[in-house]
Amino acid sequence: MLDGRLYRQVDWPLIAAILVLCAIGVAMIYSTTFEPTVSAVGPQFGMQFYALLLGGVVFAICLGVDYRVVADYALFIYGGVLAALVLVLLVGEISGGSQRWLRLGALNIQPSEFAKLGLAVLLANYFSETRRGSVEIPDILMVGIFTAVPFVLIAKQPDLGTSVGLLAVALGVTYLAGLRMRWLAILATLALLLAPVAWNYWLEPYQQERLVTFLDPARDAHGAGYQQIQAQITAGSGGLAGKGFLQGTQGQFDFLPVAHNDFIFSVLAEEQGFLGVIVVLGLYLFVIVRSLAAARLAKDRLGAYLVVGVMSSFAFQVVYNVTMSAGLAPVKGLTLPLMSYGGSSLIATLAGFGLIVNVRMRRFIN
Amino acid sequence: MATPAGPKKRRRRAPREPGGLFAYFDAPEARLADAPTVQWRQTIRRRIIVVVAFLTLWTVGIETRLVNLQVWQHDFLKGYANKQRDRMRDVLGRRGDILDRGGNILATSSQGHTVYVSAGEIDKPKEFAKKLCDALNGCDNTPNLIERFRKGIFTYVERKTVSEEEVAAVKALDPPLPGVGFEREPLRQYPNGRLLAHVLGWVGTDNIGIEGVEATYDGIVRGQDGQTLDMVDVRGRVFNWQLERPSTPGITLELTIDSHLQYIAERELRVAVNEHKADGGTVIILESSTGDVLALANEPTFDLNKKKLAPEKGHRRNRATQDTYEPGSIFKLVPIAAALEQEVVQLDDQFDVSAGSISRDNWGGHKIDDYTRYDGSLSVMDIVVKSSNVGAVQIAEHLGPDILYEYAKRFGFGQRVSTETFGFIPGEGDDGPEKWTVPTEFPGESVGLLHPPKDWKPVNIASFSIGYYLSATPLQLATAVNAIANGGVLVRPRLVRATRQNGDRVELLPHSTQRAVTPTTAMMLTNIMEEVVKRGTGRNAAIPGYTVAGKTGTARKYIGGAYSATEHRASFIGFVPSRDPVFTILVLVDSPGVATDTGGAVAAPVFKRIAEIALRDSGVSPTTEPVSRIFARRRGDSLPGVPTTPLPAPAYAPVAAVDSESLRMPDLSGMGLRRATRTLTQLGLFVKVQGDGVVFAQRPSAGSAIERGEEGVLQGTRQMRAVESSESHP
Repeated sequence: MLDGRLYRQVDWPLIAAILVLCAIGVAMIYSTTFEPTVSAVGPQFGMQFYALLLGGVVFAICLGVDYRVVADYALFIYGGVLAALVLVLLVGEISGGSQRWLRLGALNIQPSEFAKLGLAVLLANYFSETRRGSVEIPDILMVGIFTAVPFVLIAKQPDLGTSVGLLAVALGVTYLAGLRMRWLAILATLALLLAPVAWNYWLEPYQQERLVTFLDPARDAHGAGYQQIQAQITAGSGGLAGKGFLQGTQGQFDFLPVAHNDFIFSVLAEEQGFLGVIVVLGLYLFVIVRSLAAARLAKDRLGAYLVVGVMSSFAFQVVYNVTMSAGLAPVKGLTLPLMSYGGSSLIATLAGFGLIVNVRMRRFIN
Repeated sequence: MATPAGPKKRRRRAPREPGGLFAYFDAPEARLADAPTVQWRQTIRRRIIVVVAFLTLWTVGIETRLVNLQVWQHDFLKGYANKQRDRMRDVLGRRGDILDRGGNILATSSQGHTVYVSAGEIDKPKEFAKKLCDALNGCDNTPNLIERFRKGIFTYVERKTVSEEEVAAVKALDPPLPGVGFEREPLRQYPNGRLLAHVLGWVGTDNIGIEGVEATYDGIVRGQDGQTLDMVDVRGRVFNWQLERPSTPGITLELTIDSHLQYIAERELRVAVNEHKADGGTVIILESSTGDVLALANEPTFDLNKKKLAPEKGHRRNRATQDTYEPGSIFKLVPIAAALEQEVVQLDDQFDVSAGSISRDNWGGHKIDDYTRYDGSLSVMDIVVKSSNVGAVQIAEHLGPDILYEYAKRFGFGQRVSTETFGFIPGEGDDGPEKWTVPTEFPGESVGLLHPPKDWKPVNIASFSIGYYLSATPLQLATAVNAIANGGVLVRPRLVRATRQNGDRVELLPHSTQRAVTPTTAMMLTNIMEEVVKRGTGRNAAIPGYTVAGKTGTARKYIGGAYSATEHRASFIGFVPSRDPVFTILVLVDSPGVATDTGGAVAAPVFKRIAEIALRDSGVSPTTEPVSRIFARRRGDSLPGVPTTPLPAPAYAPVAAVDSESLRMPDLSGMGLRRATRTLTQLGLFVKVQGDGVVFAQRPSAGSAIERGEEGVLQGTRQMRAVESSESHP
């Protein structure tokens, strides 16, 4: 599958950057889940480590199989993901008020993480075969349908954060596929008009509360605004050089909730300071720009759109999570890909990068 | 570069069904051939540039924000983070012990374990509670615990009372119970339980004294709290801590209380209260010369280690200092003292009491009766001895309100008995000794009622003279009478005589004194009180071998606007031995069951029992009995001077009239110690014996003038060396 010519085209710098981010993430998870009283680390560290190994295998598989073959199975992948999402709503594990996980033996799988990938493959396949060089109404409608089905299924769990990630995929691919600015403007206007409706009919009271407290966190410092305030305290108390590995108290002592998950970036800011943040932000930017370069260099539209689809949800999550951690966006259950705790997310993300490296590697292959 | 044919070929291999949704994708070859390769690539390139531009802008924004947070606001936010993480916790200092005058422990502190549960909601609360309580050897109020466990409320299962073994048993549970935590907290323990409960008081769960000495001396007994800096998580669990300032242990108090006498007092009081079906009572024993409180007992009482079980508040009240009552006849001593000292009457002046009652026109119809009617007239002394109200009123009428009020004040009525107490803690290094003060020794002490003279109506003079129209605490009364025992000097009673810390014992200064009456007046009053016991209302208080001075009181209780015919308080106060008092003892029995249970009938016998034991156990020599009881008669010994019944005690002339010239020290040299002791005892001396055999030295020397109550020292020897009979040793 991988002959010498292909091997030479593997994007090692990108892989290296990804690995470094994963390693930093695992280290931060170790730090936040460390119990100082018993000098032992929580179970999350081990689980993330195994997920990383498994993700490596998945990465290799996604790299090895020609992305065009993958695209040929786009509908099956998409269908499979939808089936899994339906299954989640029927027999999924309930935890923390939402139903997101499928129990498979010892593994807990979160199909919504793979839905983004499935949608990206499907949309890439779709746009690679349209006749037109631009996006027209029928395309928008098709994309709308493809996106809406998993969106609704995931939003039902409920997991608004991940479902919004699907919108990012759709928007990203459609935009780079040539969505007219006119349509972009119309969609934006439509979204604005729909906002009040969404507020009244779709958002749960707790979600409304989150948005309101975002604008004024002190309004409810012990309730909905708490996380946002604590996130700022966490980042700010780190200072320029940080408190040092295992020295952070905000995450370890649980002042910042779900620190090892949604707020891993804040923990990084606390323990490694502004300098650590610069390094990690640089790595993420490198990964995004390098991936976009793969899209630019792709041999065909399928490859380009595939890269863009995968990268859209990735970039969206990175941007949103970091913005949220800096206290500039409402608190939402969106993880920081590669670093946050979560096996399904890590494996799905690595699979996506497998496809991106795949596209770049095969840019000279017919 | 890719050619449009490439993807097409591959696509053909794809297993795809015709038609359906994907028919739309499956575009004809012609449409694909038209696909504008260059155009899509240009679009992507241009739009990637836009995306990267946005990303760059975002990065700049985020970094600006982070610089703001992490550099500009760093100090503020770090302070905030530390504030919510750090908890300063007071570490309680070890409370000092409380000892009696013999160094016996009355109160001490140890570390007790506290067990709490902080586990959130517990699935099987019943099972959980059973496991936990089994390991703790049972818990109080298990249903309540189960309910709290079920709701997940933070719960103290047992505070301070968990033993080391029980903690180990809980920790050894397998599987371990979640959320069970332990704390060490200081535990105050009273090894004697009920003993001295009202004086000691107790300590709250926060280690602060609430009642009694624990409260009044809290400032020095508690010690100083130290501080610990805890690092806590969001749920308040402590992760790490460091000692910021160590705690200082408190000072140990040495009370004036004699545990043994206290025990006797409590026992006798309890017996009396039960026997007479009384509501309660008080016994106070003062050391006459110093005012030291040797015992202070109240009924009903409670167990200090089981405060919660005390059925009602009345059990915890220190009646001796917090309750006031109208003293009744005991108070007659005050107007008599005033009348004698002001020379308004003489001891042998006669007053007509034959009417058995007395009333005046300006009394508004009130009438004062005698308990027993006496024929003819009574002398001043007999008015007190027989406790004639009619006589006392007549004497008081010679005095008027101002003098009566003045003398009541001199005897300490209308003022708090306790005063500010102070002492020094020996300082180390430059600090020097540190002074401490305690405003009062008895918390919640009552002042009693003493109306200013301008408020008095004519009838009040009469009431006042027989111990009504004023009220006092038992301790005030005991203090007043103790002034008579002390030759007219009022000594404020005290509870603490020394402090101890780190092996240093610091004695406190005696309390201030004030003169109530002249020594002569005191002597006369003593004489009167001796007669009370000898032939008056206090005969039940007489103790063979000792002269006893005392006064009875039977005060009717004022209930619902009128003086009750049945409810009264029976009291007796006296001191013994009367000529050189060691103990001043008050006995008060509240509401004995029968109306005829007067002070002489109820309280005096209690006084006698307590005083007898106190005298014997403190080694006070008998003062009147011709033969000292410590000498047993041997078979065959003939002691012609020893009668089988006690000799009539020598009649005392008034103290002022004692002719000191009439007593001379005999020469005892060469006499057997036993005989010599008997001789001196008969002369009214206290005898101290050193050595054994025959007397070879004596003090005072032969022929010198001696007084009753003086101390004589005899030195004996067994060596048959010549004893110069004329030689006397100083």
